Amino acid sequence: MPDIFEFGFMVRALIVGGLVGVVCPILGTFLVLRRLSLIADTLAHVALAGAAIGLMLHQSPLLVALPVSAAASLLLEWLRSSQRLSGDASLALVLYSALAVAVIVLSLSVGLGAGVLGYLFGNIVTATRVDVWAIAVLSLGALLLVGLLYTELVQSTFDPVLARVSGVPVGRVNLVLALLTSVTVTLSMRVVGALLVGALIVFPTLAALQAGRGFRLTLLIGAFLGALSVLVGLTVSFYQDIAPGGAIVLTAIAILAAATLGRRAVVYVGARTATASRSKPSTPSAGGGALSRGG
Amino acid sequence: MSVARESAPPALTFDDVSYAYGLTPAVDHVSFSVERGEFVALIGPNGSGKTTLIKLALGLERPQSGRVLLLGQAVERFTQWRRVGYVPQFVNAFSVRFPATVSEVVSHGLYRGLDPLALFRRSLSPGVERGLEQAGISELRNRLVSELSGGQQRRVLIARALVSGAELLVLDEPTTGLDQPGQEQLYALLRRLRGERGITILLVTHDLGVVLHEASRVACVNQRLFAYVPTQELTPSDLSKTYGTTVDLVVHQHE
Repeated sequence: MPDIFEFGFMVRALIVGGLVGVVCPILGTFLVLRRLSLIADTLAHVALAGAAIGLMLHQSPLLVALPVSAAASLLLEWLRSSQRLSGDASLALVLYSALAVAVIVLSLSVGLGAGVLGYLFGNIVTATRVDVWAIAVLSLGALLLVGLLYTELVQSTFDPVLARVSGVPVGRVNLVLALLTSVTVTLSMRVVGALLVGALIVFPTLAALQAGRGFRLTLLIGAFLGALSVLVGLTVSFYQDIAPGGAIVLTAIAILAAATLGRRAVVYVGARTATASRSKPSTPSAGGGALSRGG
Repeated sequence: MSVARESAPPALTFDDVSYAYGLTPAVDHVSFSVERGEFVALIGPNGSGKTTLIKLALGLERPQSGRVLLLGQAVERFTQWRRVGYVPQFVNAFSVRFPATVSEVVSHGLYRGLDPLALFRRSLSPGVERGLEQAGISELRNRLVSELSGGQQRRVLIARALVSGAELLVLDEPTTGLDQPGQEQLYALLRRLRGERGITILLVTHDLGVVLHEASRVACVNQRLFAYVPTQELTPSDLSKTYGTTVDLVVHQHE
């Protein structure tokens, strides 16, 4: 059996994939809690159209996809905040417009199909040096920006009106989050593909939320589970010779299932313990158990 | 009971304020001032413009005519948000499994602007501890807000509003969904805050019983301001004009 680390392309894939795996759930936490999970799917299709245009123009697909998806994210934020369209209608508008552009670009250009498939289904092992550097720099930049705007992002996610009354510049924070999402989605498209990028944003986040911890810890757990999903998925895909994107997302689903079952088990055991405590009134800690459980 | 600060400008002033959603008027030439230390109840039927007035007071909407002064300053130029506490009727986070502890949420009330190190700061500062104590929820500090009862969640929002030393507390129907003991606890907390800190309270409510027993003044609105009077001077006629129907007012004296 070959050693995965003997291959430079796999080492690059693991590093870049791990970075994307960390960034996706961190952004995903804010998106899921704002009920904007499907924005990732929409922006991924926009990024796919951008990548197709890049391939047609013989430019770096990733570097063309980035400004295209950034512009779409700003359009979505404007439609949402100005309430010109309902949230799902604006997502549908942008998604199908982008798909139409992608289809037309593909029909105009002969021989683009194979290249576009790499972005549709993801293929990190074919990442170029430009891709690797772009993903590394932009992932670290996104993490830095989330760190700098941590309170603003959390407060405007908790409740935008309450945040505005506290003096948080919610409009500008939302624009930054939209741009960060477009960048993250575009980078992730190279790893898991446009069709599955939403899964890498949402599944580790949902798994982390099962832990029932505070916001910082939820972000950390999500980042760990996202990176774990990518690293395990890539390793499995290498040894089993299966599509990396699918392997990564199936790993994330397995982790989510384990986290959900784990939480249910904890709740069940907690309820059984509380019932047992109540049936023994002489137990001194019986009254305080419920209050301290979440601490 | 109220601690009026004679030299200070009113906590809130509506000066001939009007606002419409499209062609539908919501607030029509409303003028009144909430003096420091008062407990003003804002009442009126559904769709009467109460929540719009709150939005105008907090600068969330701009009046189409007239002006709003918050703690003596034009609201559109107001920046000292730490002096104002707001408890909304509905909070986005309570409808999702928001992963924040009580102390994290209360610490949001201490927001002072961009802080690059905020990610690394502890939520449980002495100021947050004081806010938790004032709201009577110290024992909940490490619980997730999404796991609390409705009454406890309202107390968290009040602690969040108080933690920065707010002088004006604005509450939009804070007892919605609370049972009777929960409502009584909430009003006991407001009474204590007003007595101990002289805090000014503007409360939107549908509960006339609460208005009569807790508020010092009542503003009756239905697009227009029909009455703005001390509670003991409120008449059935004021309520009838506001609600557009006959209202009997029976005040029970509690021992």
